[in-house]
Amino acid sequence: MKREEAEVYLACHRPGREPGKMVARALGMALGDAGLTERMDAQAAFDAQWVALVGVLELPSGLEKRVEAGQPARRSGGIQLLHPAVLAVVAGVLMIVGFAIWAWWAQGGRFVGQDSVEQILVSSRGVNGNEFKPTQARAGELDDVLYMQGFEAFHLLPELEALRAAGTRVLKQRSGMVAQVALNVHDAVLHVFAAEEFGVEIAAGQWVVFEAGGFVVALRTDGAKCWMVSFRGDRAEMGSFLEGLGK
Amino acid sequence: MRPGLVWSLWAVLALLCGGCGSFSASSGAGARGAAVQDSFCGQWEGRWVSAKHANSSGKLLCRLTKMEEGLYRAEFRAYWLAFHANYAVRLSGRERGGVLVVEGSHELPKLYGGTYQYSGRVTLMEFKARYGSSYDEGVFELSRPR
Repeated sequence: MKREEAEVYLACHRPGREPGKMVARALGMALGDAGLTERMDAQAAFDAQWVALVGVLELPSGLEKRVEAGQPARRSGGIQLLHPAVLAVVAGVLMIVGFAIWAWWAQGGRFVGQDSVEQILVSSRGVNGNEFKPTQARAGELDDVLYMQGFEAFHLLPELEALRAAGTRVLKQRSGMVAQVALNVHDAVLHVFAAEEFGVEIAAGQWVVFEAGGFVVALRTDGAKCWMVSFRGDRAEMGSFLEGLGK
Repeated sequence: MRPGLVWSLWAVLALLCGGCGSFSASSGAGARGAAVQDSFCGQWEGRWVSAKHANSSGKLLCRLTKMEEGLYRAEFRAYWLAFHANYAVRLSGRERGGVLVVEGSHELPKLYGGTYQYSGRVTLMEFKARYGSSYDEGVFELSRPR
């Protein structure tokens, strides 16, 4: 055995315990080497200090029983939440949510196509009723009337069909044609136009309510057509109007 | 199935096919053109009646627009039972003594009669025309909406 190997084995020696074969050979070599003996004694003193220190530590209550039963120690909820993997997931989610909020804020909380939709409202701002061809029909019966006025494909959501109309007209905008039906309630105007022509991108099947130019506006699409109701009022009035549709 | 009903179904197929095939290609500028509109232009409503197939008729709407001198565009909405179709026809027109004499044609697939020819007279209050193809022929009778 070389001296360097003996040093490694001597570090494994515990006074008072029966040494293994290789440790015994190293001990035999250390007897004739003052340097090795000195290092072995220093290591033994160092180990003894650690053993004394470990002996002072108090074990958690019941640890011995759990060890005997083979049960792993339970970690508290707080420690699990601070686990790096959990923290990484939370940070990722926060980053995505933050980006979404920033993107929404960056466009001022507006939907795609809102500018062109608001242009329709601007065109309606000066309307005094004389621009509309009078009618007493229900909104759902105006397909032919609006065709004659130049609007090719007028159709309504079922819940809008029963609304009483007061007049109709077709508005020619740069983006496309808009069928407008003056309603007998709230002095409202129902606008119908193609979503694609006006670049409107909102979730299909639900009303989007916003305010613009003194109007409260509810807009809905099926992906192809857009239906928009506008009148001078507030969101609460629009909410009541929408709740009353189809009843 | 009765032969009359078969003919009627064929007629509505021709109408719908005509609407799909021709309207989009010809719609647009004419309807929004800058030509000065004359007294024959505007809205018309009435009926189409087939002279060849019994019991084939329906409501007919028309928007007549002047595209340029001597050239008009008639945009029709033709009904048959619960169906309707939109299609447009270019008509040449010349005025003679307060009457606008128009004629034109409209291409459909041969299956539906091929070329439809139109000729008619428009006054301030009436728009009457004949149409004909290898499949069908009949008349349009339109007046000003009330």
